[in-house]
Amino acid sequence: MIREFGLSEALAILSGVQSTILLSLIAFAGGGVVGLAIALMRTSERAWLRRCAGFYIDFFQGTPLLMQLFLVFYGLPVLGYKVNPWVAVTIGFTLHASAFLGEVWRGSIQAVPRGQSEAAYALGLSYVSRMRNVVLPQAMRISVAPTVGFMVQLIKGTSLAAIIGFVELSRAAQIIASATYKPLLAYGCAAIVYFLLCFPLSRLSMRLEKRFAVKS
Amino acid sequence: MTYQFDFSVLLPYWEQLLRGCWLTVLLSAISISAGLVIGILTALAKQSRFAAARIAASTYVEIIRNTPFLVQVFFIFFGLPALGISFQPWSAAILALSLNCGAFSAEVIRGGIDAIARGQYEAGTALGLKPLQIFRHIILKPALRIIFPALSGQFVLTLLTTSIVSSISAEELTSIAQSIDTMTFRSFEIYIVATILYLTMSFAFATLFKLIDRLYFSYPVK
Amino acid sequence: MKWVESFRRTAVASAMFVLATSAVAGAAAAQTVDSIKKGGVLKIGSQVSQVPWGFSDASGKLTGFDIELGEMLAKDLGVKAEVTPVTSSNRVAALLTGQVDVLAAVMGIFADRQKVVLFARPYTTNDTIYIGKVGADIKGWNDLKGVRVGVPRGTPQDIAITKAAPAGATIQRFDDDAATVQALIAGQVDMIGGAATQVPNIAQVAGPGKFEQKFVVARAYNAFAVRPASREWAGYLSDFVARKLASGELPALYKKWIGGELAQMPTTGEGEAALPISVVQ
Repeated sequence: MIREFGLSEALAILSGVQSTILLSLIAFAGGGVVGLAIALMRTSERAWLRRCAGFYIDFFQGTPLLMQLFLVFYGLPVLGYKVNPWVAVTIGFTLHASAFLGEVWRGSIQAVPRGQSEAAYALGLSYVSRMRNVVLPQAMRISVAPTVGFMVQLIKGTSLAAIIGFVELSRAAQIIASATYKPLLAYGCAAIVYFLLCFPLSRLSMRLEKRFAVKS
Repeated sequence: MTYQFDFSVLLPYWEQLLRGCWLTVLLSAISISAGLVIGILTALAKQSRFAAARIAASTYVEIIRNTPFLVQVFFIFFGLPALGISFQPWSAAILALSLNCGAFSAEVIRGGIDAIARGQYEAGTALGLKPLQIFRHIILKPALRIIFPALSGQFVLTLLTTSIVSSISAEELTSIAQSIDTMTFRSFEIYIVATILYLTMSFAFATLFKLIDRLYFSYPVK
Repeated sequence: MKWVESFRRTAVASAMFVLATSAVAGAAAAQTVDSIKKGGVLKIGSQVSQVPWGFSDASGKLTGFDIELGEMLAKDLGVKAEVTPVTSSNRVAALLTGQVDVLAAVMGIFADRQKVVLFARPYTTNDTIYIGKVGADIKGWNDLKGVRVGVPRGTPQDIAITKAAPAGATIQRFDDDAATVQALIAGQVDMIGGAATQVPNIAQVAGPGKFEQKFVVARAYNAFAVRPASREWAGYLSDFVARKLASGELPALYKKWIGGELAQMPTTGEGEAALPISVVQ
């Protein structure tokens, strides 16, 4: 009943890559939107906003992603919210990614010289226009490299969606591992696919970092 | 039926949970220390005159950075025995965590060394310092000072990563929590408690690193 | 002192988080046969990495004893079967929180599990055995001194050895069967807790004549599990099992996946009658 490890097994693992990419995109989109809000709150002039965002970041950076996903997936139904797995992972990864992106972007916003925003203020620009037209465009340039770097973490992090029943790259490898009793080979295949996804991004991140370093 | 929370069932297990925390802290402390040494050596190798050392260091860093930790730990525990190298679960976990932490630290440290102006090195040579002295006093320490916040973030991530080694039967907080879960079926209670314990530990680590930063890396005020 | 403040802030918020989650007792409601029929979908929690109970075949399709049984059940109800993959460590949580309507997940009836879920009458037997190297002189718990024993976490094998706790044995717990078997083949453990169905599979991977069944621990009875208040739904499931036993479909399923004849089983999933029979002390 045990299968040999052959081409069709390798392909079965490869088919998990779709969900991995989709999960990564969802996490990045959700995390990006909320992360921007968190970064703005963290750099706000109101102390209580800064404090809320600070706690949010501390909580999600201070606990394992595994625990966060578990609490969202099994915790929400207990609190009376019926959620399908896609909604659960969207929430879980959005919370996780937004905390990390929020912190990265906070750093970038603060790296923009203070004089810039003061000058804009003196010119009578509103908060929104100050942020949109002066601070954020400059902060974005600084944040591109670390943001792409975080994408790599996120892609690898989606492997934890397996524990709440998602058949993505890691889970596909696990299913093949148990049908062939060859976990090493199965996980090795998955590792190669992860590498092919992540390595170009890592390289890109490094190149962007260098380019920015030369300009500044 | 409604789910009734009951944290009291966990009370008999508090000693086990505490032991889990201790094991997690120990595992993290050993791996972080080893990872820091590996990271410094790798960062040095990346600047080496010898192409072989540079290539070896980059290959190591890229493989670790671009594959999931679970695969790395499986490879060490299940794969290396095929080559006749066998580790106990805990040793395998420490090896995997150290290599992981080392690769990520190497990148951060390299960034710090790059940030130290080349003039520093030349000034050191002019003062007649030996290469090792130059490295220790006027490259490594200022570099560490610049990157220490980023490095401590990496160390806290290593602490959180330890939760994955339960997959190779190494004992730490997550594996103990899972075992308690299978005995009591109180999944939420146990995972909420575990989450809070992790949170406490990562804060303790972050606080410790801030103290080190203040005591060791702050510039003398006098 | 920023860090003192940040720690305090976190401690307070954590406490509030716990209180909030404790105060709101949520609803994973009792399941009725009507509501499933109305919904048109039966959500079944099954293990998908447990040959021969639930696994993927060469074309990548899920199959196995529990999977086919689940499909049979959905057909009986006139609804569509939808399999949610669960593991031995998260299946109870998946059921209690309403992620699935029923578990057909290689779940043996044990006293502590009876306290948290409601079992229907058993649909199959499952013998728990220990597998070790050919030639090792091990016949029971007392021979395990200095032996490294691997078990999948939370399974009957884990429960059995944790209870018996032989002095000097090292228990190593893994996430699933595949990792446990791999630990045995890689020589990372000397023995594993498993099932008789695994012995030929292990021989196929590791080569014949290396590993064998050492001793049988117990015969457990696997059954459908539902949320505790869903008595009517459990009654339907017990009746379903009785009908399929009588029609010969269940014994045929056993022959196909496990091999041999399906032994006599208790007619209820509740009380002591349904608990495993101990074979070796």
